[in-house]
Amino acid sequence: MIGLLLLALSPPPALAGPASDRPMPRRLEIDALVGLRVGGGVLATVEPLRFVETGGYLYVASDFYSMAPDWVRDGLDPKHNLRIAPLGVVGVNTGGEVFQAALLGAVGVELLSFKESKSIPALDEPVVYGTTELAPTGGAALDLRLQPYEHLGFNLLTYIPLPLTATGFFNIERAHFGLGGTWRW
Amino acid sequence: MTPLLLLGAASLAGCAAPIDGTITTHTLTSSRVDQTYTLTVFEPDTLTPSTTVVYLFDGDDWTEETAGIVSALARDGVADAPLIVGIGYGDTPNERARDYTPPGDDIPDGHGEVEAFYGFMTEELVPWVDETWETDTSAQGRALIGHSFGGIAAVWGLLYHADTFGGVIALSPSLAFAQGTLFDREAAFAEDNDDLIAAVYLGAGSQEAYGLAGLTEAFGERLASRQHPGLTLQTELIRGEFHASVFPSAAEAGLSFVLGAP
Repeated sequence: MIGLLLLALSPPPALAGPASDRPMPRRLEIDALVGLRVGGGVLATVEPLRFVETGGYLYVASDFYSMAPDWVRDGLDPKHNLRIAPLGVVGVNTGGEVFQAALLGAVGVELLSFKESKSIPALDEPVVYGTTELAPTGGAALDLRLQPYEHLGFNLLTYIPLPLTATGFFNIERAHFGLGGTWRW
Repeated sequence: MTPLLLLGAASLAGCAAPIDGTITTHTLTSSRVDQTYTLTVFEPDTLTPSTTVVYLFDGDDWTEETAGIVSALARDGVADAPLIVGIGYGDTPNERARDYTPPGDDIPDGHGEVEAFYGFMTEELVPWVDETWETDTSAQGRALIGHSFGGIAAVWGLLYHADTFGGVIALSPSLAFAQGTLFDREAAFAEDNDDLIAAVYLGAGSQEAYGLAGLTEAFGERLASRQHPGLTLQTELIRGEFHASVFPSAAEAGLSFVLGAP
């Protein structure tokens, strides 16, 4: 997937040789992540075929603690909380110039690292817990793009982790929105 | 299905494993609690008078999944399939916050009536089950399983109703609720009792923040430190799982441990 990111950011093939008369559009999106996590994301894709996109998506995020009920947050002291996920993506888009929607599947890995302490009156000492894990992950992204200028625009990306849990539930804590700018050339 | 607002979840589809038995739905109106409960019951094909009964909290959500797990365990020869009684609310408002949480200072409105719920469990539900199905009616023939708020309801059963329920599976229990009152109550239990006869599994996902994983480990260490002769205990953090994903793998581990306990 790192290779796909580099491919997406490399010079257009027109400079390397005329494999086709059709230019291969490239897109770079930089988003602020919002939802029950905060952070940033970069989506870089090329369109090898009309309506088809492939590339990479990288997000770096920190889970957002303040939405929890009081009894959960009382005595909770997050030390650090970080998620980094490089993902390869492939999918389709509607092909419009000004407005475009894209549906992308993503597969890769996620590095999660957090450490926290939790104090409760019943315990003399806070309970300290943390973990660092690297695990396969994947998801689906719906990206809505508005491009009023020739190369620049805006996008709203909705990312939902997949697969769903065994009974068909998904955790909105792990979904996020990406809101930012698009550069297409 | 989760106690935390931030862990809201949406049901998209069911995809439970195959089951070796039948699932039926019943209602039982409680005079102890102003509630008509919907009971989703899995009856294994292999039901005998020695079959264990597993009482499952949040039965609206988890009965089919749990039936698939115990069916697979039976096929693999790990443990005989139990009768599962999933306790839920059907089309009525879900009152799990009221029924599963312990009393305490500064708890949110609508919480903290777990002991009234256990009045329903021990005086109405268990007798009804014992009359309806021919199963093991000893404490060792009954187990509790619950997740999140259901997990602390199971721990409540361990501390106050071990004479009725000899098996307890508490998954991601919300042990911080009511300022961690269950830790205090466990300490009081240990003061007053030399033994606790039960098979107990405490499980959580390794990726569970908000104190869930850490407090589950701490509670397991507390219980183990008492050295109750009659207690068999396993505490486990399941790698890669989080609060909304942990139930299937932790329930499988817990049911294997408790149902397979001698």
